[in-house]
Amino acid sequence: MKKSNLIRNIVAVVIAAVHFIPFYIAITVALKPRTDFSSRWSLPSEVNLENFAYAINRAKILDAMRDSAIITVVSVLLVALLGAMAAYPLARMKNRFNAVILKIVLGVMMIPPLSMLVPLVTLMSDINGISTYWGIICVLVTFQLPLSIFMYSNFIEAIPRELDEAAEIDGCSKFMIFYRIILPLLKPVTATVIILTGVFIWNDYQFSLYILQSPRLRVVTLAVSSFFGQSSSNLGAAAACALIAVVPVIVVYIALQRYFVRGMIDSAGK
Amino acid sequence: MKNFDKFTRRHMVNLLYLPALVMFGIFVFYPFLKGVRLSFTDWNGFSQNFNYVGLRNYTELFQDANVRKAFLNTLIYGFGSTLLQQCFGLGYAVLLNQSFAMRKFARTVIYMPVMIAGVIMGYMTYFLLQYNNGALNDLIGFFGMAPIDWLADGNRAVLIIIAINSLQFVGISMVIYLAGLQNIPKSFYEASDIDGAGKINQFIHITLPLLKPAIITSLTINLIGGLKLFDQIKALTNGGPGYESHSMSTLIDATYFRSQQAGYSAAMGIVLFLFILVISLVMLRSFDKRRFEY
Amino acid sequence: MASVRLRAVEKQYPNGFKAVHGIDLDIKEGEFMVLVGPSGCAKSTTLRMIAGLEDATGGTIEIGDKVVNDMPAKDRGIAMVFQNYALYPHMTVYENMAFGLRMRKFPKEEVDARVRDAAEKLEITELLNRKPKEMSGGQRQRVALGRAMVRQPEVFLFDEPLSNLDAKLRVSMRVRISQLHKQMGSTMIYVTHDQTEAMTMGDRITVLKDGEIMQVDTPLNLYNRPANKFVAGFIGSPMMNFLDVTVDSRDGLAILRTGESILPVPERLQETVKKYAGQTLVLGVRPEHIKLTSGDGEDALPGEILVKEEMGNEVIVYFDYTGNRLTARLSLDTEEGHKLNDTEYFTFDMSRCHLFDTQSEVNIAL
Repeated sequence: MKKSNLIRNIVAVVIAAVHFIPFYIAITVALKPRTDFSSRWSLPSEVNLENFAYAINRAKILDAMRDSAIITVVSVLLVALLGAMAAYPLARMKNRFNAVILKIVLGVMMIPPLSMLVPLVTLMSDINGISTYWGIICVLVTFQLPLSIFMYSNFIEAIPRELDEAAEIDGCSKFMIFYRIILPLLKPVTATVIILTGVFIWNDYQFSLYILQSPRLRVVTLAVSSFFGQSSSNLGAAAACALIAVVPVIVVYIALQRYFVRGMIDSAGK
Repeated sequence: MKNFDKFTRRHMVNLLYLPALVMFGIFVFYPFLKGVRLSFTDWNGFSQNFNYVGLRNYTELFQDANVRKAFLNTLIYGFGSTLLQQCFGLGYAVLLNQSFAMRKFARTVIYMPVMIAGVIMGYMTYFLLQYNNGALNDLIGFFGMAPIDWLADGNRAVLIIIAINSLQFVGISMVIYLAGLQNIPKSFYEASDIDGAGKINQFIHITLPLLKPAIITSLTINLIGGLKLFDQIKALTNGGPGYESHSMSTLIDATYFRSQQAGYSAAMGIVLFLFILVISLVMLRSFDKRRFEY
Repeated sequence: MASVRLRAVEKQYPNGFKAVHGIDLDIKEGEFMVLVGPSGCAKSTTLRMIAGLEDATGGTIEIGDKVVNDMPAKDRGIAMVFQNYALYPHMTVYENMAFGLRMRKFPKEEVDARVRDAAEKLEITELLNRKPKEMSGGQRQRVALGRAMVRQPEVFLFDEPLSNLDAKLRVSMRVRISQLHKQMGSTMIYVTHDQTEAMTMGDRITVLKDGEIMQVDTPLNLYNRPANKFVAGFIGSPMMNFLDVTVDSRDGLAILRTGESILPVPERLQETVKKYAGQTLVLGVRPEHIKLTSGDGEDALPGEILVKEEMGNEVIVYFDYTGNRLTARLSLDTEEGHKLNDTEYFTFDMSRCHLFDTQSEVNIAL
């Protein structure tokens, strides 16, 4: 019994190690000076932070993180608010029309962003939304809304309908029922929606690549990719840049791991 | 009048989804229709004028070797990573569903890459795949093999991208399977223990059939994700060498920005959309059937 | 206090299914009316139409002489207690009870006075600051009751309020609700599928089946004078025995034949039964109107004892009579030492029996 557990532990650690290799290599690269040509598998002889300094000063990765943070926070709040609002009637007022709407919402979830590339970029440039906060926020919110609506409506469907009816008898209009009764009950699912869509938005590359064309407004994925594009000679700084971009998500993930996994499973479908 | 009151009292609340619908209208439906229109033109993406060319983009598309290659690659990316992720995801889940000290640690690390942007993951693996001083070449050099330019060959590049995509996202399948395994009532195993079934028989006759909902969920997510693959390709090969590792997504991007054939690119977008739509509908069908009671 | 009057009330769902088929019902001011019936009989639908939670698709509903069909639920002067309590999970007991009054903009002092008064009557004062999930089922149901009480409604509606409680609590809540009715004197409409609740609580009972009213009467009348076979079978536990009998006559008197046995027809029913000469009727006998007999007179039925349930104060005996499974409720002193699979002789108390028409199932013995 003891022995098989030992084997399991070893197998699990080896698997975890394999999955960690890309991070490990990025760390060793980032910590070694440009002149160090030792194997990427070997740890640096001393901790060298000049690559990080370079990434911060030259790649402006911290600026990109600020922009990403602004975009993510605003988008996530809108995704949660608009999603919860839309989900209430869709979950409670069952009729053929709303069933069609719900199907459309699910359909939007399936759309590959790139299939909309040309017309979406054209539209955004027509309405001067290119390289603006509101432009990218609108697009990201729109494409994250279906997931939010889906999760909220599943959650609301599980709330007993009698609560709405009791409130109706107590004198609430439908809007009041939503505001006074349903909304306060959505806290747990809101946490899930926020962290799930938050990660998607923070990590977005496909929309940001086209809508944020000016270097004045750059999110982390763009900062990292453009830095990699330019600095094939300075890979240490590129690795540092990637690590800085990844750290906040990893920290949040480790702190809230349970919610992430739960949210992933909930969003996968009922 | 009374009926009107009643109607508004009952249906006014539907106004709550209006903002969401407006967003969809502006940023999904309108551009989609616009995309359909542009797909019938020879627009280059920036000039004021363009001509309607009828179905030319579509007929050309079906004869274009690059499109054919990209479409084929898209299928390989989709089904290849789905297959890899099912095998490893299920294996990991079965291993990590047992209780031992390191299981939480392993789960955390395996799921971690799911959290980071695909494009950043792509760039990070670049340090592994480089010809000079790349970590993989170091490793095979240690065994006396000559260094390989991993991404120089199109077919190999496709396989590597599949592997990296799977390495990053296998955590999703793993947690879905873990949840599925935990949903199987213990009594089934106890009953079959009494019946004298071995571990392997239990897996085949109890675990797998009862995991069917999880399998379908995981398949759907992986397949749709794989067919949309973009970030990792963009980071690692940008479709190269030549056009050999393009997916439909990256080819659409290249056609628009590099070749400045916006109309043609829009037509590819429509085709990709229809393709994913069909796959999704097929998957949704099985979604409906997959509910079954324990 | 208000009366409730239903006239030809119908409910048809958009898919065409007709749940309620033109119900007429008068509920008097201050009356405790129970709607009872098997599941799917539309008792809850009827209640929900009175509440305004569902639209009647035909007929009129009046509460206190006002037609309320188009009136929103909140204006109908009703309060409702739900089976699953439907307490707002994010509010304390106090807030739950005060919510309806606050929505109606009652002055603060008034709200407070009413909530505290109701809480005292229901003995939940010490729970006022708790949240619903910190309470037991019985406590929650009392809060739900309190939430209805503070509104001082014209009509109380109860939708299977005790179904989620365990047997013991159910009995004490039953008593509490009955007391409440006496204290407040409000009109109460109470839906249940449990005939014990119906019999013990109702001033009158409406028995429903498949969206139609089978009978409306006091509990005792339902028991003693069921209008039809359905009511006869539904009310009473163990259930009434039914046995097909053939009408015959002997010496100018109507008699009933079953197997070898001949059952006499009571004097008062002679005329009625004679009309059915040669036809089959359904005889209904309550278990307590079956006795053991030692002799084997012509009215004695041979029965093989299948199961005996010893209840302490009485014995329920299930026996097989020519393929019919009958139930007898025997007092301890008449039943002693009979073994399973013994064949014994039983007689019916024919003066208390009922006879139902085979086609219409109407009770012809009333």
